[in-house]
Amino acid sequence: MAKETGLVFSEKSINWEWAKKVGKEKFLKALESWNAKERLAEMYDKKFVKPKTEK
Amino acid sequence: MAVNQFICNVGGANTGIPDCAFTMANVLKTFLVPNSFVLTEANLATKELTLAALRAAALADLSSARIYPTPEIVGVTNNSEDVVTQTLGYGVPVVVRDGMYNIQFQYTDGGNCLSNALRKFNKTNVRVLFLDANGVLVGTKVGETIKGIPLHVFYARPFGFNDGANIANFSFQLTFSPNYINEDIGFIGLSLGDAMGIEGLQNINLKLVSRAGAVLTVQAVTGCSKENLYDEFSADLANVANWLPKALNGNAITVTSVAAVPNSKSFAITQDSTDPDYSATAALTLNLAAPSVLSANDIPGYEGVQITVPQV
Repeated sequence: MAKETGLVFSEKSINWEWAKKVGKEKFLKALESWNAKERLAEMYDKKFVKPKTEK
Repeated sequence: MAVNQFICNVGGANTGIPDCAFTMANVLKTFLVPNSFVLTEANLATKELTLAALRAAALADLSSARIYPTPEIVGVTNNSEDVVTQTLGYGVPVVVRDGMYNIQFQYTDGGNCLSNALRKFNKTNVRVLFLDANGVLVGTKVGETIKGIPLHVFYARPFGFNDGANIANFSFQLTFSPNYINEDIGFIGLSLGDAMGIEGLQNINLKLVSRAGAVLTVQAVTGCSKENLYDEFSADLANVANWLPKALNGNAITVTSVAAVPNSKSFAITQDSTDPDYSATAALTLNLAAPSVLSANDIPGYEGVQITVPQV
């Protein structure tokens, strides 16, 4: 897959049903050419990872 | 009624007139409509409901159910056939039948591109609604509904050359029987500005930039002006819901992601390589989602034109 930099995307750019099915690791691996791992991880966590409740 | 029984109709009608009466003004716009199109009694309850029905029909996902607004009419040439008469032996002229309406409508907007689109309606079984200069929509009355006027002929003519004294002439010809807008006329008053503003869909043509593995990179350009829609819709088109890759068997292929690619003003669409219909090499088709989906995703007034991505 050709490496692309500066790609523009938003939450709507991701098929979140697919992302949930494959899990975070495969999700980030599939989109590694976007060179936006940190942002994608953050989007994934925001979508699926429940924040821990503070004691 | 018994066989061979013929009942003579009592002819004529009352001729008293109200303070104002409808007279059709010059036609400013037409709508080409399918045989099945109907403005129901509910659609006709208010002008707002009628306008809403027309707008929805102009953007219908199914092309067979869609109505097609034509551009503003700038001139009319009336070639209608006169009433046909027979002069009998003693000189009495007797009317045999009404002549056919045969009218040529000229337009200027849209140029060759629109002319070629309208020519695709030639020899099809299309009907027409008229919008006159007073905002009155005219069709034919069927019960309490209005339907399109059936046409014997719709013919979008080849354009006429600009000869240095006259501009290029774009026009289409309509031929139809007179009863549909005489005894069977159906009309409703609308807001002229709102009705004139009803526009048809524009095509979005997809141009394949590259295919690499599961990633298809395409540009989206308008059908007529070939304008790249990236600048206007980069964020909206970078939406998985708008893209429909399919295997040649018609099965949809899951899209995992779509990103806008600024340096080539294109869109990188990634297919799910685990989808059973996915192939890294086989030919496939790619299109945009239906007009209603595009509109819901902030891309109103467009329809994608499917392309076939060749096998690698």
